[in-house]
Amino acid sequence: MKIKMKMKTIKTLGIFLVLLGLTLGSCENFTELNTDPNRMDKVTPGALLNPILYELSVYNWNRSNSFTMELMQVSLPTNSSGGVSRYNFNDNAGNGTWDTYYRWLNNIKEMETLAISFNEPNYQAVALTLRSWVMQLLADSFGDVPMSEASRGAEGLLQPKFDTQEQIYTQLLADLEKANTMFNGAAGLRYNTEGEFLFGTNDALVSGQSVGIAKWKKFCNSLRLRIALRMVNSNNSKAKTEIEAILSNPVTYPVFTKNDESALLAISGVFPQEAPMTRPQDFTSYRGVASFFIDNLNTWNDPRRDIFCTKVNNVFIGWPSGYNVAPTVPVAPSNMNQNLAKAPLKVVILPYAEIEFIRAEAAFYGWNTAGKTANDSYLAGVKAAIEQWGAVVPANYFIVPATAYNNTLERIMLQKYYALFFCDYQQWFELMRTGYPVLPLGDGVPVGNKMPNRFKYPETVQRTNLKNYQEAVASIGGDTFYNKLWWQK
Amino acid sequence: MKKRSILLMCLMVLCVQTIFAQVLIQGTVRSSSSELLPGVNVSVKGTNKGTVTNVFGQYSIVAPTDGILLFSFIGYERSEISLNGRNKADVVLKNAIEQIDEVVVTALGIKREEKALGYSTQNIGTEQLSNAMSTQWASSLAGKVAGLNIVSPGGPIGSSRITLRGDVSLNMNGNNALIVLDGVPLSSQMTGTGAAYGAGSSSDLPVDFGNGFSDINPDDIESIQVLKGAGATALYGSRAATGVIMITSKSGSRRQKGIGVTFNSNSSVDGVLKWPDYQYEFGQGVQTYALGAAGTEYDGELYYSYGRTPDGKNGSTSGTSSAYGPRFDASKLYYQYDPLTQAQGLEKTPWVAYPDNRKGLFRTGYNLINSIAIDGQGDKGSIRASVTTTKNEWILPNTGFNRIAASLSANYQVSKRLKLIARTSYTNRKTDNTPAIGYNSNSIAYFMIFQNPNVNLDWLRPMWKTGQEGISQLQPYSTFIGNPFITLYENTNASQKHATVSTFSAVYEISRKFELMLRSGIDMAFDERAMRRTVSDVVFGKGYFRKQNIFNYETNSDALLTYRESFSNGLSVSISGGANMMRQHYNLLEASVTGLITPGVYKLSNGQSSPYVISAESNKALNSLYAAANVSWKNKVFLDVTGRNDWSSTLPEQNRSFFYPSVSTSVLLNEIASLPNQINKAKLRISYAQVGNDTDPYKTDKYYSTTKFPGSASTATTLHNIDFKPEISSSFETGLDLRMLKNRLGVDFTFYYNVTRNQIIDAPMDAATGYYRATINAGKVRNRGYELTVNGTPLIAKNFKWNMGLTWSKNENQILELAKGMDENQLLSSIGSVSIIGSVGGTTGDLWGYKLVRNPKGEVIIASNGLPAQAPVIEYVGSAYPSWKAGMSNEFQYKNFRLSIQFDGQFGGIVYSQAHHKMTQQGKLGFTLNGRLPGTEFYIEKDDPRILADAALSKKNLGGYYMVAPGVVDAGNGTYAPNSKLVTVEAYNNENYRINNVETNSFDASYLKLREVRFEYSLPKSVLTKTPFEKASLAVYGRNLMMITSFPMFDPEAAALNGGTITPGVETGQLPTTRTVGLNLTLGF
Repeated sequence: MKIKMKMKTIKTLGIFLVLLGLTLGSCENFTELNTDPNRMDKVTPGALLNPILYELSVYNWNRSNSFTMELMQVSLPTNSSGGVSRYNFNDNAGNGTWDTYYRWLNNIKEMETLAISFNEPNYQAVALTLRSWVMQLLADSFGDVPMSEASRGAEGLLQPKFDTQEQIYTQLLADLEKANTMFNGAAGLRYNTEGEFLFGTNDALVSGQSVGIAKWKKFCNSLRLRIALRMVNSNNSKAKTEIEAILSNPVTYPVFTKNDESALLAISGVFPQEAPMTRPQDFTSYRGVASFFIDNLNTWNDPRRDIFCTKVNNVFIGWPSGYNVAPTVPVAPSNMNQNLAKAPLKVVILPYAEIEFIRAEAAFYGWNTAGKTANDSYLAGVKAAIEQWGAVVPANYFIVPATAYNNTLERIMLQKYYALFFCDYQQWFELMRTGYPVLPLGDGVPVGNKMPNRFKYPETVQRTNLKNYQEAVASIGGDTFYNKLWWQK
Repeated sequence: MKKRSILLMCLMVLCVQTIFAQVLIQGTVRSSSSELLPGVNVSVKGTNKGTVTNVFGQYSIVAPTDGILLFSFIGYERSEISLNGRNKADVVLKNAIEQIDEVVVTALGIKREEKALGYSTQNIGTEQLSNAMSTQWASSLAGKVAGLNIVSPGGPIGSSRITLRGDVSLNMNGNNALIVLDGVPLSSQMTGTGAAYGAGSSSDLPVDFGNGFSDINPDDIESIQVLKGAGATALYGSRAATGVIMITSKSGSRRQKGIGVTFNSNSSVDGVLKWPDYQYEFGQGVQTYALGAAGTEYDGELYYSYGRTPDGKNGSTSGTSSAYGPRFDASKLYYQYDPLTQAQGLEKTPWVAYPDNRKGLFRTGYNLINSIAIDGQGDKGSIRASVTTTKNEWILPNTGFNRIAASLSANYQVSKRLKLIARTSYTNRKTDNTPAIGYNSNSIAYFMIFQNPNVNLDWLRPMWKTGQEGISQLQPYSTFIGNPFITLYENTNASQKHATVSTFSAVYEISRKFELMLRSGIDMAFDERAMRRTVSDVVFGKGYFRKQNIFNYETNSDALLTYRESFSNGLSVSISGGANMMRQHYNLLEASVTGLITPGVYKLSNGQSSPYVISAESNKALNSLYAAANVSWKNKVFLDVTGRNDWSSTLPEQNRSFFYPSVSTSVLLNEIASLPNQINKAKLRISYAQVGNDTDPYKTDKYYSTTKFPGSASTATTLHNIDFKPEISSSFETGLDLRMLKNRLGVDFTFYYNVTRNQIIDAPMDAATGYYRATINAGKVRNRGYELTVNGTPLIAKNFKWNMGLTWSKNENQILELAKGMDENQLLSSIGSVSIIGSVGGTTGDLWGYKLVRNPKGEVIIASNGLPAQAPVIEYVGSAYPSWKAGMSNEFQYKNFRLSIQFDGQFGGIVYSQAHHKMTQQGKLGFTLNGRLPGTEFYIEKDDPRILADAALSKKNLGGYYMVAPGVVDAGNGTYAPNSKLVTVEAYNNENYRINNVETNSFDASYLKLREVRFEYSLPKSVLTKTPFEKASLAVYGRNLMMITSFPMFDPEAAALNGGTITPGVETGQLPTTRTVGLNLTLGF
């Protein structure tokens, strides 16, 4: 009996062990089981393009709305005693800029890698162009930033070194030169059969040529003009050669020549192309127009007034930016026009008008602008800037001394300021480059507060990349809002 | 091999003993209620021989014909039987008069004697759970368990965040206790619908459709066993690192023979526990530029004007959401809104407040919970079937839910050795609308904030603009604010959920010493949701419709083999080995259309563009082997050792397998040493345990994120990791359980110390790497704390008994380490203006944000503009975690009357209130009258010399307009002068309580609540015998009857629902907590 029991016990244990074995036998499926059945692990270079264009544009629109407009005295908050318009900044003011730009740079990098492996030069050229656009925005916002070692986390490079602004600018110009030669008009963007968002490029050809690729090429060279001009204070001769080379050779270096070639990203408002701001009423809540912005338009009797702003008691009236809040405040100011925030709308990436103002400035410096005078280009720029918003230049617009070109850089820059309305941080960068337009200081701006030169690096950088951060700080002379950048005046 | 030799040895011992055997005695052991008693110790007096009864209460033992058999079983009196030549001895064991040691359900459903446990557990019985019947079982736990913390974002369905002994993980979602129903772990996963702070964003707002465990029918719960520490949960493995709440459902096994029917009916009404202090003294307006223009009768004073009117030369004052306008005065006449024309009134009307214009939106809610249960028991098994219907009409109109829960549980003795137990339940929960929560134009909470005191709620009732019904909602004041009736009747959030939890288990007694248990269970749910947003909606102006179909299940299969042996020297051993297979599947298919072609038609086919489809699926598998050995010596000293090895599919291949052990011991000091007579029991317990933990699926490979653009993708923002390790929690626990004064007083004290390291977190990265976050192993969090429970019977008299219970707990959470290179601080969560930041030395619940600027003496620094200066950087404000929590219950029994009262509360912790910020900025809370109302501290008369001295100021005919912000001005040379600058009251409130000022908008979360009261009368037995009833009782009860707190909004037990995460310490648009009063009828026959 005892033997029997023992046998039975062993048998039981045996069965049990077999059961266990069966249980654990399924281990080998784990790798397959831990594979996401939904998300893609392989994509084409075309798959990444539209999210890059849309998300960056929407971000820039929002920054323009919430930061540049207040900083550059376009508008102001009516309910706040602090904020950007009084030059109060939080340390983290630039965090979103850093994070967003680098996030999409990673996508651009991925698109470039895929373009190379798919052997698609047009996608590679588009990637180089977009990277140059975003890298300049980053470098102009912060100073030295990682470029050569950026977007390489997946390789295990978690502490990228910073490149100097000069290195970055040199690289950007070289990249755009390279991109310019890579664009192949005989092919379109094969993997965007529905068209990409900026120029509608797809794989279709008109008379053997891609219309979209031609526009991309113009965007590439127009961007190169913007980049080159920004070096005017720091490497004048390089700026000059670059700009002269482009302007005098439109066949090799085509640039924007009219408004409908501009890099404006159209947003239909039909899902998924939703307006950057969900509630258009947020665009105008607790907000007024700054007197600097509206006073000039009033003086010029500018047709853009009605497009940009709304009247109060039948007039356009602004509050002085940086006003002293309490206790004496006049009546409510004009507000921004809510229609600007309603789809369909166009996000400004690089407007044609800017090219004309670049040409005007080049002519002002006496550079070779292929026969165009500063006045020619100034007039063309103002006209383009007005028409870009669907307005018509009144017949007598340039008759008044206030609007006519008066042979000063200040005049060019003042009109350029309006041409760069709603174009990311460009108004701010151009002010830091030229000192124009001269913005009045409100009596409510605390003593010592002033226009910032740059953003501070995000705290995450100090915490995860201390050594390189310290080198960058040494290179640009500190990490405050007031370190003068390489290209700044 | 080793095992086999032990077995062999044991068998040999038996063989030796049998040489002297004379006769085989067999018999059955029952309780006095004729229940079969398994597991009863049977021994031959004066010898080493012993055995235990099987599942049928049967035993057989070899004993001398003139021997004496000893029967002992926990909770029963010992019994001795002289054999006197018999070979059959059936025994009835009497219940011990004072049942000291209860049987406790421990991990994996293993029943153990309480005294043998080396860790602390707490049991909540039926009576405690149903005292004040709630539609949500989890809310009945509040205040009853030491160390348990429960928060809910509010609303009728009320999902909960239940944590035990503090938050151990840096991952907000990694702290929920595991909920186990009859051995089946339940899902706590939530599928989010939107962000908590979403004003102005394109995202939808969060709707609380409940967690996986919200739908357990409270009426089917027999008891809840709370296993707090890792020592108790080690056998449950990785998912139980944060504690386990084990729910045992009712079954028929407790009844005596025959059939019983129990009918239980609860009806209750709900009101609002606490309202914020709203002001109805001043109406709509903005002080800064709502001053009457020269030439009007309101020259220099505050005026009101709906739209542009002859009075309102400076424009309309009706667009603002602020209430800094003129003081209410029926003799003042202004142009106001006319509900008939839905436009500016032609005549001026009196300026009056409508104090019911927020509260009037609410109604008296009610709940009906009816259940009927039938159970019966035969010779070989028992069965219980029940159906419960729950109807909830919540306190907001057109919200609430219906729930039907049916359950069946049966156990059957198939053969002498085989017992089968099956339990299944099906729940159908249907809601046509459950309110969205959070701070977003579409939430009722938002409306409650933005509603102005001069607006009659009835003016909004028409919902639509006349002539534009179904197309344009009526928003007479601001297009920011959704019409609340549109929110409730048109923008609905519906859900129909089918859920089942089923288990099947078989217990096979292979031999007297071997028992095999096989169990398989499934928790499966399917939820169909539909969210509608009307055309002209604030967030989705063109209309929106979204469907979410969510299917998920989890299966668990266990096999457990147990070997038991008792030795003559008092040693008894039980060794178990087992295996578990767990599979999880989650599948979400969501489709939405933004922009409806035909207004009012909520169908995916009515979209202006193709539906946007989101598909999310996840699968997870976990295989485990575990073993446990329980050794006891003379029922005085107990030692448990466990080990478990898990293989998780979510970990990188090379780290997939991980092992963790536990050891615990319990010593009955009163049995081994002589203690004072007053002490009936003194149990010391000590345990040390490790628990490993895995993570969510798909963190080991590269994937692209899906985007809303067709044919598109983008790179992931979190860098995957091909080599991370499992997370390990180690915990130490010790405690003392004392029963004194003839068991009339019980005190149980526990100390625990728990460290979780190698946490698998998505740590922030420098975006320049291309990623925002990277999955890494990092961080070390310590929780240590004390728990005290006291139970006593202060008074026993004839017909009268007073029982009292007290729980108290304190947890100290501290972050010991963070990710490498992240030593300063790490963002754990961010909602609106509040950041929850982990820093070394801080807690995982630290709220950070801007504070007021102060000088070294602590005085607030006022800037040159007369308003509090703004700090340059965010700082630590406080911890959301309370210092301690306590609960107290009292039960008085007099004859057939029973009264029970439960209080609970917490001390310490803070909550940031978004609603407080916004309502202060808008001048809507009572305290914002300070400075405006004569007699208040900041009030300045219009002829105050400070005003008269300034020509610009004195022109304004205004008292209660200016004030001086309390604080000092920095003279710049280290000295500070009192501030004297005049500013408007509105400017001050706006600045001092600005959204980013987390300090001024955060409040002490301490509270004391009268949680439950029940007064019950049961018909006495003498009366019942004349009726068909076996039991009949009637009771009135109340829940959340009173609250004492300094928190200014609805409830300090606040949490924000953000996506699928409940974040404690932050209030972003709360709905009120309900106060319930109800009637309960129970009939048994």
